[in-house]
Amino acid sequence: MRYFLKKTVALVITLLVAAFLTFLAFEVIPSDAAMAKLGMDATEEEIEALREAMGLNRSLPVRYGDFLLGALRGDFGESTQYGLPVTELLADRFGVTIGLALLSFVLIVGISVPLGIFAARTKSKAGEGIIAFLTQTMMAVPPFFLGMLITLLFGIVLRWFTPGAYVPAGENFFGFLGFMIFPAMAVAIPKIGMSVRFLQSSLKEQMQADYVRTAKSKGCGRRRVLWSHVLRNALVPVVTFLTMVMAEILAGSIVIEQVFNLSGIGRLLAVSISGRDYPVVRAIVLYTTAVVVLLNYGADLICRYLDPRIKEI
Amino acid sequence: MSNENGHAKEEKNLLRIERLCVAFPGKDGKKKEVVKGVSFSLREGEILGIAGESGSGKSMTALAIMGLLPENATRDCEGIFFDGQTLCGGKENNKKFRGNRTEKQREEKVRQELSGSKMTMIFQEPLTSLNPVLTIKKQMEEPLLLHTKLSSEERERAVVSALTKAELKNAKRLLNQYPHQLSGGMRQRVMIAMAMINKPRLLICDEPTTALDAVTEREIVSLIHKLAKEQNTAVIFISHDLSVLRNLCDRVMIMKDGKTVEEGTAEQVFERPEQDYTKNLMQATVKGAKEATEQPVSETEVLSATKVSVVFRRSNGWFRVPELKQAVSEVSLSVKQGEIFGIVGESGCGKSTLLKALAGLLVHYEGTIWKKDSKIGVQMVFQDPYTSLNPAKKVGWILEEPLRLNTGLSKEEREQRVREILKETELPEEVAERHVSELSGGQRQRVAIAAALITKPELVLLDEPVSALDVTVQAQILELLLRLQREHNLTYIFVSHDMAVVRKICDRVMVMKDGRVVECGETEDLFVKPQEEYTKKLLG
Repeated sequence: MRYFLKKTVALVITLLVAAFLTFLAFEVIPSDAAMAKLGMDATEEEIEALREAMGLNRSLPVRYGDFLLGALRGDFGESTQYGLPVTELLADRFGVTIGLALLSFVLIVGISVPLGIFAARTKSKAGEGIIAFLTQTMMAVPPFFLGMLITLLFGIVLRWFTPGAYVPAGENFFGFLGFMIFPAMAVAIPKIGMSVRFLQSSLKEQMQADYVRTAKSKGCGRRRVLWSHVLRNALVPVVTFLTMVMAEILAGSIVIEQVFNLSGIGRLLAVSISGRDYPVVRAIVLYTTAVVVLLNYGADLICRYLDPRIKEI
Repeated sequence: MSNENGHAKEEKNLLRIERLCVAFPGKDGKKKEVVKGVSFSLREGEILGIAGESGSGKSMTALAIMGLLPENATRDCEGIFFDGQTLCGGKENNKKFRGNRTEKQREEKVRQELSGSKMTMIFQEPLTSLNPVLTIKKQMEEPLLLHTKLSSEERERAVVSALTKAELKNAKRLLNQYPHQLSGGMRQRVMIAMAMINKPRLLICDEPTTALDAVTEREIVSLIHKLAKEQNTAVIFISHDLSVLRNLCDRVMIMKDGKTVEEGTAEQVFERPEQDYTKNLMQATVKGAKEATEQPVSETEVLSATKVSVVFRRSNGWFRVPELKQAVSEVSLSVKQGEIFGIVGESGCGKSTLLKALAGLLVHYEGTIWKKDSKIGVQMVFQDPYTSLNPAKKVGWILEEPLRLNTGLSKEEREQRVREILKETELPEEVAERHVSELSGGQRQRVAIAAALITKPELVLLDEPVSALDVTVQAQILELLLRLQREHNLTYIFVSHDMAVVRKICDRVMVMKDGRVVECGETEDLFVKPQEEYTKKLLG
């Protein structure tokens, strides 16, 4: 419980610092929001008036406070490119990215855990060889190529889905799943390769541990040794690894979004950067940081639950 | 005493092993046998000690009985019979079922049924032998869960009573703790409680006290003895320490290179050993006082410490006052030229911390440490030669390293010096071209000593330099240390928890407890008439 409180306090502090650094970074960039909005032809007076109206002339701490309050209320200002509130713009994309992330995560965990356990338990040379080959291939194929292969096979040859026809979850949940499963596969496959290897080596290492011998001396069978002794010990590094993977997916994958014509966070970020749409970029950077920090917070709590030896801060 | 009349006594025998062989796949594809046809039997309630150096196959014999051999090992035997059941082989079905899957499955089923209920085992290292992520209660109740039909409340009561029987105070509080929160002795008590919870007929102990200090060792041994006698449990007690076996066992078996060398009642083996190997083993056991040295210790001080204290801060987070742990408090000592000064105490008494402060490896101490000359060579030898030498480098490189740092010697001079030091530490010259992993424990410790002596220091600090070694090797290393000390007029500060070793080698001894000096004096005076209660307890 004390660990939980401490971690929560640390989380809040980290988030505030991250928000400040994000804010500061966009202050340092040599660019003027007012000028960007009015274009090169605007007169000095017009720019100055707009600066005043946008509150750009106020002192730094005041504007940070403003930014923070806005962020807490979900107000990140207005997109310079689209003229829409940033929040509104992001809301649509979140659905896509989070849906994709969750679905890929389910695939990664659902496939790599059983496969990793099999890989660690198998004693046949053939089994080990197949796993090694499979995971190597999964890791080696570049995601964009994988995306294209999947589109070609399932979309064009087998016609299991219509390429590019994204169905929002709100409209038709099963339609959404039926489409999303394919980009999710493209995202998940390389990660599955990695996490199978990770789990395999972690399990194998734990199976050599002395406590396994003790468990056997108590009369545990192979299955009991695995499920009630080894697995929990082996999961800690895997949880940390999966957290990193999850953060990466949630930050948006430009390549996969492009291939499957999804309008997610990744593509929005790319467009906003090239369009110098700083309010949007700033919101996405803040979102990404928050995702990473929150996920690590969750992972810390899970690891601490799994392994009581983990020290308090 | 075993084979001829073994069959007549069969009813009484709890365990009978016939021609057990254990082999591992070797480097060149040939099998490497580590146990070569060992046979013995054990009666109900009997305590059998198995002794031998590391590599003698004693642990493998025990693991083979329990069916816990490493997966790459192969077991072959004419039979292991336990309590009326066949654990392995059996003359007639051995041939019929060899390599047969169903026979393997039957063995596995019998093993699962018996282990944890009728036969149990405890191991050398109690920290790693307990599952780090499960509570004591969870681990303790597992044998009950697997072998009995007790309800959850009954199980908890049984666990508490088993812990109490193992002389653990506050058994209830232990239930929800994890192994890392307990001390080494407590962990081994938990292991014993867990092994005894189903009142087994046979308890196998594989070096259960090797990782513990002298006081705890005695307590654990007498606990095992007490519980075994109470419940009429037969015990196989494996140890490389003959003195432990002497007081505990009814019968003793000495093993060497996978074979039984000698077997008999404890009295027979210890009082009238027949085989030379047994005699050697007993002589190797370090005992007796230090032999008088020709050269008297000079009066010049080499090092002195006045009121040295070391405090460790353990931070508990950002806003809390850090917890302070007084590892060493106000220790004063003075060491003279050519002297061997011993520091003894249980683990955690601060002796290693003090040594680090003296060596200059620890800077945040209070008090003063004075050395005769600020440029005086001080070197250190550590306990575990397996982990304290860099495994990626060849021995020659390791030995040369201090020369590369401290002197302007050329490459040829350095190599010359390496050859000299190898000769002095009685290592063959080729060792320089080997990696540490190719050497035996004794050879590794010689390398560690060579690395310490290569810069020709005056003062050598030795932190438990023989604790990780076999008795015979231990004796050799101590002899080497003594010879080097005489030849080079070195000064040693020798830290150990082994009283026998300290008595054999040191001129003066300081006893430490909880960071403080309990007693300090001439070795023989202190061993013959200890002044303090604590010293008496240490001496047993």
